Amino acid sequence: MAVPAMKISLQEIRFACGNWRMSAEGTFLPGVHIVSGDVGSGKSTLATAIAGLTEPTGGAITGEGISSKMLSFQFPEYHVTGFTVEEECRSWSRDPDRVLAECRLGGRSGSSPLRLSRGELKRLHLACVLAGTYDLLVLDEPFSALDVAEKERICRAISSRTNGITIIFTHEQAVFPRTDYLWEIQEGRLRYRGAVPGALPAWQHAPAAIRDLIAAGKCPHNITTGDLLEAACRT
Amino acid sequence: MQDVRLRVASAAILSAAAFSGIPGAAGAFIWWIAFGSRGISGKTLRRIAAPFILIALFGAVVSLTGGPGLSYFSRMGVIILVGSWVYDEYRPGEFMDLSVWAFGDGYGFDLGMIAETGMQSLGLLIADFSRIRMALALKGLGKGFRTLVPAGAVLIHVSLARAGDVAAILAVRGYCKGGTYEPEFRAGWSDIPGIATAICVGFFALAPVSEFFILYR
Amino acid sequence: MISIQSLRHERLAVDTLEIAPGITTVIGANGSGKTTLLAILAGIILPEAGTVLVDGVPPRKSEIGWVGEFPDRNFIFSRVFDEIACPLRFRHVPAGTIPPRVQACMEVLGISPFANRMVQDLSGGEKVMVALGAALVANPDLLILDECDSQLDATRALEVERAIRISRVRYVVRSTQQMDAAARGDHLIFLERGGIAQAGTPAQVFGQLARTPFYPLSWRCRP
Repeated sequence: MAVPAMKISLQEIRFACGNWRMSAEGTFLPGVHIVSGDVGSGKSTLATAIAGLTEPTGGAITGEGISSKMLSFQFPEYHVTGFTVEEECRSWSRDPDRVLAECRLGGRSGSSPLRLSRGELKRLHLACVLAGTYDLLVLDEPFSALDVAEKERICRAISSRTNGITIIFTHEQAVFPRTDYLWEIQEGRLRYRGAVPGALPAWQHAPAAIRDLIAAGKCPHNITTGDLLEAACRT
Repeated sequence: MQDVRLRVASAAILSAAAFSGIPGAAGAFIWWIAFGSRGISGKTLRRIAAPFILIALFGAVVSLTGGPGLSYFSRMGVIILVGSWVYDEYRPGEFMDLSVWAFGDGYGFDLGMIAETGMQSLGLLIADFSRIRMALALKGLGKGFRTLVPAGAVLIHVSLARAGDVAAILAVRGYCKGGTYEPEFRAGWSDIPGIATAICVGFFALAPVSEFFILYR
Repeated sequence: MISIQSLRHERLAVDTLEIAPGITTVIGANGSGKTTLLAILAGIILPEAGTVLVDGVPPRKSEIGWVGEFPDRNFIFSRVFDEIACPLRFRHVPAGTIPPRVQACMEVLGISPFANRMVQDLSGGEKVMVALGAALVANPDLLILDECDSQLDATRALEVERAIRISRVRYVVRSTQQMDAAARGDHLIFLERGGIAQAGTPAQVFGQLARTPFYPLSWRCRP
């Protein structure tokens, strides 16, 4: 029996709350998707709906071939259930030693997760989430509270995901993982810009560095820091 | 009712009338039908459903033990309806207007600010709690009572962190005690029937009417 | 001059630092002490040891404006006007003089139309502008911005920078994870493990950080 191809389809999705409105239509295929948009544009609302945690006001979200889902909220505190860092790792069914080594929190296994700094808790949380394999992984502002070095590290971890649909909702302007598709929320609508790199010229939220490279005729092959440096160094 | 002073006064009189007995509760309920039930929404009904269930349970227990359970349920139910009307009619800034008008620039300002900050925080608390429960459900804890303890612990942590941030902001902005504030009220002739009727309900419920009306005897 | 001498607080240790007028940006990894340093400059925290003076006056006796990382989670009042006016109200400024001062501040920031709106109905960038208004309305000597640009897209971040320059606050000290924004400041401080590793102009400091992730993307990618 053929396994259905993995995808999430948004059909005439509408959100409404007071005077705020948003609509969305499109299909997310396997790969890494970035959905960019200003703060308050509805990224988190769309993220929770795609993850199946909330219902849109109208329309339907259907998934095919998706048997496991995870959503990471912007504030990692929301996810905490363990009284210690070690318990928290185990609550995700992860090996605490491996996770703590990866996020450089060795020696803190007995600390309360809620006593970690925001950046430390975010590192711990993302290490637990990214160690899992999910058919659908939704990351809501994964770069929030991280310094540039940590952002690069998280981008490398995301770039190494080979299976499933990864959707990143972010207003990040500098550090990105290897990305397959670009979307953005503008004027209350989710708009599909296309596959990278063809979508880059149409990307309204593109960082200035990418816009400058495109203007100089050096469109990068992708949007990781390495790709941008390669494009900049082309003659 | 546009003027928050008249609104709060009406609510106080009607609540006292309802509490005093069945006649007062009946009068307050009729008042609510006439003046307070306009624009009642599904959201309001969902909000008051839980308190109504609670007082129904208490009322049932009181009845089963031989007490006036139905009277209790009726009176408390009307008080909930009046309270819900005050909440629905609230517009941001009104607690500050009322507080400063009643108690001045010192205590009045502080009380008003506590109320305004509280209302501001309520929306955030509800949104945070909803997200926390979603996050815990993702971990396989479901959405039932099992999530309440860890969700509550995180909510307390998040709320305390926010309280610390707000305290720092208040300090940096120079808050010590009180502040200058000019209350503003919206007066309207449309408020008169409501407050006048509320006063009548209160008078007949709370005043010793039988002493004045021979016919009542 | 902002003058720091023998400052010690938790992991933060600064022997001597002078911050000149203008926009000073503080950068560093998570846990390097940025927020602690900013909180001490604002007078929110009293250091365990050392002195901090803003033109010879301790922070708690100076006029300070502060904008945190998540201003939308820390609004005190529901209405935009009340939020911006509150520093003046807290200082018991005569009530009649408050509306024109708030209005003038809102005009500088381009948010005059929002006066009667609820803060929660605004976009993320507009909320940061309101928080900035509340920080600027009392004409502070020192304006502190703790990663408030983390919630802004590039366009709005530039608007905030423009507003700060127009406001002519004598000292602006901000922390950021946006290295391109740090490159546009007047002075730069790089914190590492609680101490000052580099301080100077952006060109001087970033020159020492060329092989680190802290080097501005736009400088790395200059065609």
